[in-house]
Amino acid sequence: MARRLLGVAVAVLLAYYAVSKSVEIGDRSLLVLLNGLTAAGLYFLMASGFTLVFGLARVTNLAHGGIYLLGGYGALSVQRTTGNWFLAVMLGALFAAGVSLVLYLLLRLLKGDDLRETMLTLGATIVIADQTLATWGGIPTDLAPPSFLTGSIHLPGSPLLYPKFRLAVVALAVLAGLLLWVLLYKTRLGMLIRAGVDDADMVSVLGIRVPLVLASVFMLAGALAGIAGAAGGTYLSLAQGEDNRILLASLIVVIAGGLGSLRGAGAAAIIVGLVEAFAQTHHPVLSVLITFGSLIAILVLRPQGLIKGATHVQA
Amino acid sequence: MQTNNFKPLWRLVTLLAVFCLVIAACGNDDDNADEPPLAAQATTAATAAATANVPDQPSAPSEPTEVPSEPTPRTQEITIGAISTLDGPFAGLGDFSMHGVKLALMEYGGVLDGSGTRDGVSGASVAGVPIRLVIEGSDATPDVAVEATRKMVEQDNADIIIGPLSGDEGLALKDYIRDIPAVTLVNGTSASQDLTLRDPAPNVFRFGADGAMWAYGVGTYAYEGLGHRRIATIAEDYSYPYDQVGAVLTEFCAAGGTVTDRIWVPLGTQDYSSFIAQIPDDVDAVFFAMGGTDAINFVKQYDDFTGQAIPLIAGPTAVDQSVLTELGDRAEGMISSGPVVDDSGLANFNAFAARLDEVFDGQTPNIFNVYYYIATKSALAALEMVGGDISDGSSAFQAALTDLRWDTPIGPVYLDENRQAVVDIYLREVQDGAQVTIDTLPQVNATLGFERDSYIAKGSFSRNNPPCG
Repeated sequence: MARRLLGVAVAVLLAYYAVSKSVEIGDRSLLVLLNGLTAAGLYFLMASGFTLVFGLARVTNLAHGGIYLLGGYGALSVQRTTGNWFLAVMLGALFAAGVSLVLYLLLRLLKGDDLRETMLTLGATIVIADQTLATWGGIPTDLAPPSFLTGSIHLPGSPLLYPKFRLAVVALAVLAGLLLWVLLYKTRLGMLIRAGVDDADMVSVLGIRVPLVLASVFMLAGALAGIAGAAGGTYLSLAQGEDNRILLASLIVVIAGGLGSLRGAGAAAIIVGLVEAFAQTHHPVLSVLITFGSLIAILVLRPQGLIKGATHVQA
Repeated sequence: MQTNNFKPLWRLVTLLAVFCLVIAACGNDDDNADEPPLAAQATTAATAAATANVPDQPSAPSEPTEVPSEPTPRTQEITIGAISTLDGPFAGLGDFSMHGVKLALMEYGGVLDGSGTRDGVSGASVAGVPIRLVIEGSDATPDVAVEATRKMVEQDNADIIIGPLSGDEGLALKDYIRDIPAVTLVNGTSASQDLTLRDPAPNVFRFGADGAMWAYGVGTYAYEGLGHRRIATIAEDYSYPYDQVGAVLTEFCAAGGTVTDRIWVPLGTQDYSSFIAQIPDDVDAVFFAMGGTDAINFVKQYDDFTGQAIPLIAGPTAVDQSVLTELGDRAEGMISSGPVVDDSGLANFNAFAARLDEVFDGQTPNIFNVYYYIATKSALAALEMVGGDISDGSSAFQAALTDLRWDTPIGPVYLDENRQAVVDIYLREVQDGAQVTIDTLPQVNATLGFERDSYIAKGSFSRNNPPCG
């Protein structure tokens, strides 16, 4: 009860603060809002895959950031060869899905020992980082957006410009969220995934080949990270160290949202994206502290995360 | 029942939390590298380095005596340890710096062992004494730089350290190397003012400019040449950008200009959109000081958001030749100060550029390969002057370094009383992807031409120093 009251109090304070600050900067608050949503879009693409893998396979995939980078660099190579951004994104996603599948096959060898699995994914991040450095070099680079998404448009009712591609990233994340929802709630595979999250042993006893379901979830997560890498590589850049940065952001989102919960990942992505954007605008020096602070606040109020995800753990 | 179910989950969450902290710690650059425990270790290291001949000897449980001043008995070989950022966000810059080191050694008879960054150079010698090269990498964080240097000093018996690359690494290495007087540090591109300006170490030498010197001249030019009266600044939040912004504002405000906002962004920020939103509409120009990935990300996003409606004035490394290709057309016309221009016409520069292109296939001069080359060549030249003899605890060698004067590829250099170089700086503009000279500012010193004592007394540049009306 006390905790709930505390939660309400914090929420009211935050809302008051946000509104008063928004008035203070006038029409720029729309800009900051959009910035937050763009970041949220990228975080959601990363976090959704991460949380699915965790929910089903109980694997804390620390190589997820590395796969982001591989997807982005893969797309870059395709774009340099063909000049086509869409083809680049698709092949980059496919490449990332393939790497993710290989990672799954390696993880199978460890038979569910979560600490060793986590160490293996951690090792994979180091290998991937060095391989990207050797292949694509240490100088940061980026993909060129498709021509109709190049440049900026005026925001309605305001003289401010906003880059088209960033708006497209928000749309992409929403689309990915919808497709994931359809997949999880309207298809047989989705049903198996959800059943596997609830009780993998039971699903396997019923004659379902759980490893196949797991493999497809890993590939799905890899593809999402690959798409995120290509999108991030277009409006941000691809460089050494980006893998850790995006991994850290998606870990915050996943933990705050509730491990294993897709809806939680969506909600937390928006919260983290917005908190970060407003903190960077109003308290640039404290922005990192505020972002982590909000994670701590969420975990204090709701230790299980915003939305309770998978808690049934294999014995 | 419930608690049982939660246990493994909690273990994972804990693991994740620890991992978060580790990553966060790695990304954080203003590290406390000079805490007491480290200093104590450094003394142990000094003892070990001075007494150990066998590389594998475990670092001795030393009695708490002070560092032996007796000359180290040496083998017939001098070891140069080169350190740069071979991993992490500045990995590409690390490659460039090693090119410079190797080119200098090749002038002394060295042959490349291979084409990789970590492949050394063998066969180099000075006055008949063979020179061995050891290469170590950091990831731009001070603690990793200190560890890598400690390894080179203690295990490889390095006599001379060339490097490091970034500002805070330099400050950390100064504190480490100060306690090992027989080992000499010749700085690479670390541009923190206080590597030499305040509390200098006797065995630390810098044959290049610091960050404030690099940015010399552009503040005055912005006011007088370009007619700007109000500017905003945006820069990474650590010592090296403080120096650049500090130098620009010192001049700009002295000329009569004002600064409306000083925006500080965390090092390694990906998304600058919310920082760009803070830049006011009514300034004449924006000065930005960033390096590597950050500069590329910022310029690209600034261009996307504003179309550069308010012109950018760049910090020295933000439009260094090492990132000009990636900046592309967006950098055209940007004004900056800096140490390297492509059209100086100096014979030494052209020879260096030709040699670089020949040995490393298409590479062109930038701050990193030029500065590491100058550092290494300075060390080798001073070694030559003492006949390759550093058996006196390097004191003759360090004296020779102090007195060294030579014409580098980017102009003449000599050292002041703090072993900080006095150098030429160029005011420059990006034209067709190259840095073109607007003006040469000869013999810029560490106090930017201001009276030394009062300049030093103003204190290190910081987020809000210098003040500006």
